[in-house]
Parts: sequence; C-alpha cells; structure tokens
Amino acid sequence: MILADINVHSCLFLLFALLACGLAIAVAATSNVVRMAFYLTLCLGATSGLFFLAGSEFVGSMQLMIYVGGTLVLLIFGVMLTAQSRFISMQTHAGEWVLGLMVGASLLALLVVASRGVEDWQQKRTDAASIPLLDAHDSTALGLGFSGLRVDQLDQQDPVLRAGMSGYLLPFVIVSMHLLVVLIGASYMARTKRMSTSRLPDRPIAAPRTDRRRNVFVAGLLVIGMVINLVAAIKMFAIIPLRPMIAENKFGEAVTKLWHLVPPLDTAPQWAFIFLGLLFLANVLLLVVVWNWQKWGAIGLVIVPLIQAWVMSQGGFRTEDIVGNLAIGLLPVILIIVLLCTGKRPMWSQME
Amino acid sequence: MNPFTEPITVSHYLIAGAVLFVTGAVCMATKRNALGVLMGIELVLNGANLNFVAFGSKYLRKETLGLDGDLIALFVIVLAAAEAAVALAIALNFYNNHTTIDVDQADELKG
Repeated sequence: MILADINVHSCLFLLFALLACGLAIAVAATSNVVRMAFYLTLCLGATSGLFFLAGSEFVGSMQLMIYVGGTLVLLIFGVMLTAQSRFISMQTHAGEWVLGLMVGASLLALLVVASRGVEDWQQKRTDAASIPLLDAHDSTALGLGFSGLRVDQLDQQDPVLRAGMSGYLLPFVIVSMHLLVVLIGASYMARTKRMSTSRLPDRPIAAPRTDRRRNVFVAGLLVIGMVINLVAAIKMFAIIPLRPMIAENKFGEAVTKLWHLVPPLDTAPQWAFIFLGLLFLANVLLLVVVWNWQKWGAIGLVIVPLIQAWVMSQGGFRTEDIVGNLAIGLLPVILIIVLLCTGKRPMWSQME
Repeated sequence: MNPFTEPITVSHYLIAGAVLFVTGAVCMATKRNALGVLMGIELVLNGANLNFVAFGSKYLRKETLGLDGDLIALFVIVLAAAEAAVALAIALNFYNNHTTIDVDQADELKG
C-alpha cells in the first residue's frame, strides 16, 4: 500500500534536487579549487537530471554535452594551467564569509518566499501520467523554433498570443555569430605569449600582518562578551520550551523568583525570543570579527543592541526593560571602542 | 505536504533554482580564485535555467510557457559557454602577466 502511494517522479526530483543543492553548497564551501571543479561537475549533472524530470530531454542532454562536456572541461583546464600550490587553496577572511552568508541568506529567504507566494505556481498536475510521450518536447520542434517556425500550439485561437509565437531565427543567428566571434577572440587572447618583462612578477599574496599588538583589556572584554552573548542566546532559545515548566514551579521557588525579575517573559510572543537569540548569536559573530581586526565588527556591535531594542518594543516588553537592555548592550561596546582608540598605539589604527 | 506521494509543482523547482542561484552568488562574492568566481557564475546561470525549464514543463502544470522555456534555456547554455571561454581567456592572460590568479591582486585600476 505504501509502495503504491509513492510518486516516483517526486522521489527522483527530491533526490536530484538535494544532490544539486548539496553539491552547489559544497562548491561554495570548499576553498580548494580542484575540489570545487569536481563538485561543480556533479552539480551540473544533477541539474541535467532535473531537466530530464521536467520533460525537457533535449535541454537536459545539451546540458550534459555542452556544460559538463565542454564548459567544465574548459574550466578544469583553466584550473590545471594555473595550479600552483599557493593558488590551489585560497582562504577567505572570516569577515567576508559572515557578510556573504548574511546577504546570501536574506536573498534566499526572499526568493523562497517569492516562489511560494504565487497560487498558480503551486497547482499540482495530477494527470501528468496521462500525457502521451509523443507529445513531449522533442528536438524537431526545438529546431523548427530556432529556424523561425513554431509548431507547438498551432491551434492557438488568440491572435495576440499567436503574434508572440513567432520563432527565434534572429536571436539564433545573433547568438551563433556571438559564439563564433567570442571563441576566435578567446583563442586569440589566451594564446601563449612571452612573459612581459616590464613588470616584476611574483608579488607575494597579502599575508596577515603579524606586528599587531592586542590590548589585554580589549581582548578580555571581547572574550567575556562572547561568553555572555552565547549564554544569553542559549537562554533565549531555551525560554520557549522552559516557560510552561517554570509556570508550574517545577524547579523550586528560587528559580521561579529569578525568572519573575523580568515580568514580560511570561507574555512576550515566541518570535521575539527567537529574534533576540539570533541577534545575540550575531553579537558573538561580530565579536569574533572584531577579534580578527575588522573595523566593521565594532559598528555592527553598536547596531545590534538598537535592533534588539526595536524587537523588544514590538514584542511588548516594558520600557524600562528595553532601556536597561540597551544600556547593558551599548556600554561595553562603547568601552571597547574607547579602549580601541586610546593607548600608545591605538588598535583602531591597526585594524582593517 | 508529503514530498514522496504528492506530485511536485513549479514552486519546488523554483526553490531548487533559488538555492543554486544563492550559492552561486555567495561563491562569486567569497572566492578569491578567479576560477572560483567563474564557477559561481555557472551556478547562477544554472539556477536561472532551472526556472525557465520548470515554467516550460507540461508535467508540472497545465498553463505552461510551452517551447519558449526550453528555447531560452538553450540560449542561456550557449551564452554560458561563450562567457566561460572569454572569462577563462582573460583569467589566463592575467595569470600570464601577473603570475597570480587572486582577484584581490587585480587592483591596478583602483583609484
């Protein structure tokens, strides 16, 4: 009964989609360029599987032949031609990773919300099995489309839609010329020349500066801040499951009393705690960034308590709690910045 | 919904495409090797291609883009091949002249 229910199409989609996404993430995550090329090959292969599953056999096979068989071979040759040991594995700074991941996560959230937002894109085709195979897109229809004849939807009644259904002859010619010119130009540009002598080669890769001195107080404050923020984040995430237990007085009087020191914890909505926890985690990351000599971490440390105050005001916290939290968050940051800017050799001037 | 028994929809394809697109964008932003940046571009183009194919597929919903989805996907594949060839030529030229492939070193035009 379970086997009869299984939708093979969906299962295969899940398999190929997970493969493609996982390998794409592996491409982004690894810093070894040879491994990146290998993962990318597999990722594009899995994507061609997705094309086959959508019923576009010709596009899928072209993906395998042109992309995996052509473009990636080109890329792998590029990797091999430049494969000196110091370029194989190039590390990215932690700050750049944090920034890139933040931008990426927000972009992903936006795209996912958008793709789930349209009703029409979520309608299921339950009779997909009844589509005759001969009716599938084939290379003949595609070839005619490229040469200016559309053979699909010949019975289109709407004259407006008919007008838009002419083929793609002009774009096809343009893209053919484009490809020709580009390939000639590329082979002209990439041909081996004598090394130019006007310029001294072999500049060393920018190494991290080693002459920096970390102020003891600042280092201590940073470490303490990381620990406190981590504990606060864990507490915020723990509040949601623990709240009903505290209400039943399970941990004894002392804990309950401590708990009620901040009264609105009983009433505030769950999302506020999740947001606050995430913001505390962001604080930890920013402290790590400051530890790694990046100036923007300090700026972020000032901004995060302000966002926290805003979240708390939306979550129905009392005004004095908000102001208190703001003060607790901002004062150490200001202290850190003052310490950074003072002293014989201010750390601020050594930061990037 | 249960992904093992329910038929998939266009929006599933769009989400897979979004993941490819975003990982490609992150790859482009964070890699220091010029070839890594190129691979990020390939990922972005594939994410976009997945959307075109999904909108053109008649197995996912009744009202489709028809043949246009496949045709545009083929154009994208061809343009990606051209782009990779040119970018690789530029990267190799840069490597020949500067003996490095680190994009952070390509700052001669920086003001």
